[in-house]
Amino acid sequence: MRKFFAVTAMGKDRPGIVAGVSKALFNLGTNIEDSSMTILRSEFAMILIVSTGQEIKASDFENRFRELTETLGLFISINELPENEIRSKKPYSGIPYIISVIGTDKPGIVYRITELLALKRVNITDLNTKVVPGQNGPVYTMIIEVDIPEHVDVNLLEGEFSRLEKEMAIDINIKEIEVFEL
Amino acid sequence: MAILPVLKYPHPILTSPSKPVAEVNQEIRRIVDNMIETMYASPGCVGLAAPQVGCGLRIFVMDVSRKIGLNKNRGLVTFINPVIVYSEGEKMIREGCLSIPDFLGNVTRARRTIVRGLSPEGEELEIPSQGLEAIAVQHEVDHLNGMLFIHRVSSLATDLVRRK
Repeated sequence: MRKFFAVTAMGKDRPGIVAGVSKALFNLGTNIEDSSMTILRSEFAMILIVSTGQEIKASDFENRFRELTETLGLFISINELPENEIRSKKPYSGIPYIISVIGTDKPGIVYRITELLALKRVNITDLNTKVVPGQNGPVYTMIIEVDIPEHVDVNLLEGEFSRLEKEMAIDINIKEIEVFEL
Repeated sequence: MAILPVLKYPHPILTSPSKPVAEVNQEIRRIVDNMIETMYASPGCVGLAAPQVGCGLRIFVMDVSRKIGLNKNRGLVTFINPVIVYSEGEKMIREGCLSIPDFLGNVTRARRTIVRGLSPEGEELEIPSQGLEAIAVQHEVDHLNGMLFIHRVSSLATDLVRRK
């Protein structure tokens, strides 16, 4: 029976983080199944799913990572995945949509839109925001990918988005991501 | 006719260029018939290339009417030795492939294509396509060149998603 763990690591970006983390995982006898990393400004973050056929516990990782957390200044956390979550790919499902938002920068854009989505039980699968310079001050842009459950009425959601557009003076666009089976 | 097993990535036939059909004969028509039956037996599938069923020849079949209805396109089309002679425009689409069952990919394709080749009767064919049919043409011709949609995504992080 293989065991699966989620490993997350965060810290100041510098060369050697991925090498250090993957070396420790290799020495523990684990296999990297999935991984993703990102950098914002000077901050680095990565999340990995690893598996092993050996009888190891989360605390074995901590011992292995201790030196790394000290030398590289990383915060690392380990969670063993319960058996029922190992093979399930996504806990929520629905129809994929992409929502793009653009407007002058002001507090609350992310909060108001994602609050609306959460109320409708719409799951966010990807979210990226960026502030870009504009003629009349900074412009806020956000791209969200969501899975909208079948029972949610997208027209109603669009109606609530248009109310939010007027209230916050932003543009919100929602469109289905066409999936084409070949 | 027979429903053939569909090869999955990383089978080497899927990533090798297929060979041109030298002569359109009864044997080729038998392969085409099996490909058509296999395509229709796969839920939602609107196109199939010969290498996907283990045959390294330049043949594909498609029927986009399964997805968008007959009124917008021509229905079942078979191409032998197809060549895309013209393409224009650009469109991002999320593609799935029977040979890569676990993933979907965001791929940029041309909006319109003209493809030239032979029919199963050995006659010259030239077909202009747009919309989903044009995308199917490009996806299938890619298969004949040993290319899969995963070779066309620009970022694994944002353009390749796990199928639910």
